Amino acid sequence: MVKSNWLDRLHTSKGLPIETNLDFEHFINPNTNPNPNSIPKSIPISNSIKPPIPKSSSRSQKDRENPPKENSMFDIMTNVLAELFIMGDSSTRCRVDEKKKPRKQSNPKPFGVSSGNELCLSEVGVEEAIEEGKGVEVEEECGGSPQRPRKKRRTVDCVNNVEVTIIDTSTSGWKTDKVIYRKGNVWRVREETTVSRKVSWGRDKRKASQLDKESGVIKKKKKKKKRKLLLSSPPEVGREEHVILLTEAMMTNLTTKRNVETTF
Amino acid sequence: MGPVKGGFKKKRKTTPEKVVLEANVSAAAASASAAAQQEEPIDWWDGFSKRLTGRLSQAKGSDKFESLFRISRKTFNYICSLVKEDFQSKPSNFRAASGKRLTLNDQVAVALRRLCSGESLVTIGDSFGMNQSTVSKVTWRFVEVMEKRALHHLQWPTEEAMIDIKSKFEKIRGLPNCCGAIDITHILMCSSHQVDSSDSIWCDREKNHSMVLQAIVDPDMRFRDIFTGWPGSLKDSLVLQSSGFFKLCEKGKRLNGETIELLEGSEEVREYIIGDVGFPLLPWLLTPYQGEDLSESSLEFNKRHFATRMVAQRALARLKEMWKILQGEMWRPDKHKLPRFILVCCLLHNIVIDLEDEVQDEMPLSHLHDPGYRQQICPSVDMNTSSTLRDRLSLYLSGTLTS
Repeated sequence: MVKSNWLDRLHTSKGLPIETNLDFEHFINPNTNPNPNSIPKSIPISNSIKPPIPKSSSRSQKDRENPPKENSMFDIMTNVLAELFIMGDSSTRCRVDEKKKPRKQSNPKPFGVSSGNELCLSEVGVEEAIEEGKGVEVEEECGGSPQRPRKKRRTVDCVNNVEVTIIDTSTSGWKTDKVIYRKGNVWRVREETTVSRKVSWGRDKRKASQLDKESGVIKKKKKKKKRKLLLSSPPEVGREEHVILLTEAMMTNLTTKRNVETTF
Repeated sequence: MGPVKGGFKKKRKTTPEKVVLEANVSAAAASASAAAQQEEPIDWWDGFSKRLTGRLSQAKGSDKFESLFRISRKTFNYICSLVKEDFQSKPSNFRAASGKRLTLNDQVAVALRRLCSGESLVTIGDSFGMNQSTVSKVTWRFVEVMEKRALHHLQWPTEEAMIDIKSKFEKIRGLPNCCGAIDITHILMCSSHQVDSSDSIWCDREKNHSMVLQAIVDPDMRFRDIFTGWPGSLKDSLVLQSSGFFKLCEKGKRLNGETIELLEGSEEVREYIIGDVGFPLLPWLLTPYQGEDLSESSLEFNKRHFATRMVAQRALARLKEMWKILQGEMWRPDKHKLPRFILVCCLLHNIVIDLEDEVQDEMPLSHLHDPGYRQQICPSVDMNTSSTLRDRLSLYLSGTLTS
């Protein structure tokens, strides 16, 4: 097999031996080692040119010796080459992703609403959940501290929240802001508790902490309990404030129940 | 060096001197506005119509005003008087392209033209000789002020007014003690083809992007209660269930007025409204009989019911006909602003009726407010109270009721 000069130079610069049986695939993905006994994730890199001895013990030793910076440089290089040539080998990309994972976990952050990647994933998650009829967990409490419910609310808040302005001349204020969100295959409604639609999380958080200091936590808990009772109670007027958009089947049930209730 | 933030805040504090200054400025602005109005010709319309360009300028004769604004000059003047205080208390700096400051009448005219024609901001801006952003701002200001000043034109009738309403409903086709007719229409919205997941909720069963408007109408086609803002994907029955009117009725706080005896010694008939089969049959909401093998009395009831509830369909059709901005002309409207546009159009609709504007007499009486929409059907659930009431009414209307 005839090798190109640039590949030879690349081998030399990376301290790899120029061998006749070592092709481009080997360079891109050193894991494609024919030896099944070798550890796949170890990377044979050294500054000095050494003959490649595919022994797991020596590799692990070299890994310890090699500074992590070089590993990462190699990863970047490998990734760039893989993307350039579209090798079709998913293992290359997976390896880079796997390298990133520990870095994220070592510095854990609370799940952010503004996280673009997660939004995309959560959308898929929600759709799947609906298709399978599993439903989506939603924190029912509104107006509470934004930190507590964030983990549970994330999937729905990111994707399916629809803010609406309602004009109802039968209500005292005439105009209310509500949020429609989806729970499983059921759309639900909650009232916007804030005056303005665009209230920053930080402002809410500050208010919550002040309430906590002034023993407002107890009040909040009571509020939450009351809310839960409302939701678990049979469909009454209070419930419809929160559950109004239903599937056809559920709507029929609700109508039937209501009719039964109002029949004396 | 002092804190920058503090310095900024201090600037915003209102000092007594500033209050005086602002008062002077507003007074000066008011006087300027008055002066600007004085500069107008004796009749504002004479000067304004001369400034019109394009297609609007071609209309001639005394009907030009009505064709432009869909209301008479009398109604226009009344609307100006409604918003005058707010418009003049905070004088705006809206100007035409010529640099001339827009007067109160100019602004009301621009806003009304936008609402009644549904034309684009650019078209109206070109016709009236002003920037499209000015048209947008002036219209929105008008909407905000009308919400504040004209709400008394849309309210649930008082006991005295209800007596008159019941009488008029009975005169239509004999339904006694009827207080209103309810119906729902869809306000279409132009939307892009790329629909995200949040937009899908606005897509109704006819695959249009729409917002629902539920209205309860009196026999004069006046809106007495409206409920809007919900996405078009909602079924009529669910819209009703989520409305404040429904809750008030369920609590017995509405339609709780005087009951009547159909025959001496017979069971009394409570107040109720009527709606089509898209709504559930409730003790206070009577819908037509459903099914094929209906009795004579049921068929008779359905006929009368249909004729009576026609007022609601006509009112909604006229609303859309008069205020064309509700006909889906708005391109991707702000869904928080659209309900407020709808409300103001309903207020204007009522003002035209309240002022007995002759313009409404010239309008065709159509009842097709939702062309292309199929009739929704709420599952019929037999319910003693309401079905008994409906049965007694049908017997009464067919003359076979016995005490």
